[in-house]
Amino acid sequence: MDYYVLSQIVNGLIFGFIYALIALGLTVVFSIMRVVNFSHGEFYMLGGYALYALTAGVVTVFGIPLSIPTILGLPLAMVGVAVFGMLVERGLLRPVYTARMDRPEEYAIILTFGLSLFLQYGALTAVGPYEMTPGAFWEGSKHVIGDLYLAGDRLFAAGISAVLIGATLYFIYGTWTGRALMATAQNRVGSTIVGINTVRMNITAMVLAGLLAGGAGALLAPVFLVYPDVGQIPVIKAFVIIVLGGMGSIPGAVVAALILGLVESLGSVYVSVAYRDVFAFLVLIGVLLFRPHGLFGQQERRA
Amino acid sequence: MSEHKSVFEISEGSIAFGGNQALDSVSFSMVKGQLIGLIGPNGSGKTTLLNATSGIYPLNSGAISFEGNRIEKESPHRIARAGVARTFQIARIFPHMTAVENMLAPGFTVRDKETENRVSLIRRAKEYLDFLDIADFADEQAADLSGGQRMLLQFARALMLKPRLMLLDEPFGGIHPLLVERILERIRDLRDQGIDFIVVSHDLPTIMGLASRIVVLANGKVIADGTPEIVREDPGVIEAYLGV
Repeated sequence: MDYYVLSQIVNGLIFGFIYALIALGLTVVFSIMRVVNFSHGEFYMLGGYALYALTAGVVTVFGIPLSIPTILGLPLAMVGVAVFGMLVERGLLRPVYTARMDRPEEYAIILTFGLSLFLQYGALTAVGPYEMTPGAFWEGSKHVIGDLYLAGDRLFAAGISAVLIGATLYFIYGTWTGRALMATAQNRVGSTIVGINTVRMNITAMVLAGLLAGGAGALLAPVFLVYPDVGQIPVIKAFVIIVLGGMGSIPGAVVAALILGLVESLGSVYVSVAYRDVFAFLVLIGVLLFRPHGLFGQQERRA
Repeated sequence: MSEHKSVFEISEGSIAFGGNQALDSVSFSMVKGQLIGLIGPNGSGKTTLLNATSGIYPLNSGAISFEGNRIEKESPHRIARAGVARTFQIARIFPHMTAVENMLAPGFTVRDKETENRVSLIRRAKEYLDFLDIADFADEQAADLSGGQRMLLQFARALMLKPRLMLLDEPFGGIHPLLVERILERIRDLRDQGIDFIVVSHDLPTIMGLASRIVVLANGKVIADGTPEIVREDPGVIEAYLGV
């Protein structure tokens, strides 16, 4: 196989891991809260800005410019976006859920849509439309195999993504809290009646979404830079992924993300790189026409 | 202090859904060792009363206490952890988990942190499945179980809470008569172990045979309260049921 194709396959897998990171948070929130979080892309955007603010030396605290190492900026950015997720749950979504009203999910969806616009235009007003570049995680290009070299930052992003995906899967399938999360996804009233605090499960879902989307945004910030609507395309791909994987299926989201990454990369090789972002929509249309419940949607509908 | 401590008490409990008064100043209390059958025509407020007790629909006014503690403002998971378990007419199981995983889903909340580890918790879950004769289905997906088996599963799952009061909503509804016998037997076993029950049922012969006391609701009000013998002869109850 020639190295160009090989490099595109590796690139596709790299993107697949990062897409999975974005899609996992979206699908967890959807499973637990039944909310399609339209502001998920802005969680991603905030991750990038947080990394930039912490590491670039442009923000000063008590007169001292913040310029911590990028590698330390990553977990801090993740935690920052997770805290933001918690605030969104507490301040915007919980009031909708605790008020006795019809169709809380629909109101919550409109809220997240509003939040998405608010954050995008908020960022535009606060820092302007300029692209910002945080420092690299792993500078230069790295030798992978044979003649294949890849940017260190991309390899780093994929590696950390894989670790975070593994940790998330362990958390969901291997811990008591994860079990309770799955139970909440499958029957909310049934869970609360056996002693599961479903409000805490909502918070957990939003924190997880913040950690993962914020992490993805920070990981890709040195590669694709940060600007106010940087999260738009990734979140649309995450939507395609959760439809392809089967709404609410966590293994489905991971597998679908890898498939989408590969389809995009190989499509760029064999069709045209100009259509890169079109492939996701072709996949979406194809899935909706021929397998509307997605890859894992039937056997495993939720969590 | 009296031997007959109040296990459960509702006083002046009211809930309205829009213009519909689902519970209208309902008051009664139960002492330890009673098994109350809660009956009444459709829409009389039986399930609403269970929902209010388990915290799913909070009362608009009035009070509910469990073992002397007010619970009407508590959230459902706290009421469950306090020892009030509940089953539903349509079993609220976790369909994409096996029966034993259903039992363990609330694991970290029902675990006795001093004495129970993962292994002993799984053992306890299997004991309850065995107690309700569904141990053979422990590793089946809950979605694949029959209606009766799901009912038994949610009953078994409720036991994981080590409840002291159990609220059962139509536990005999749409279930094979042999299975009804088994459920009755298990309820009696558990009552002998000190668990109190409030059982909602439409199956009058069965509930009259099981309960030591019958409370009758109609239009959100208590219209009769007494032993099965007394309630059966009550003209108000006959009227509410037959509409004569």
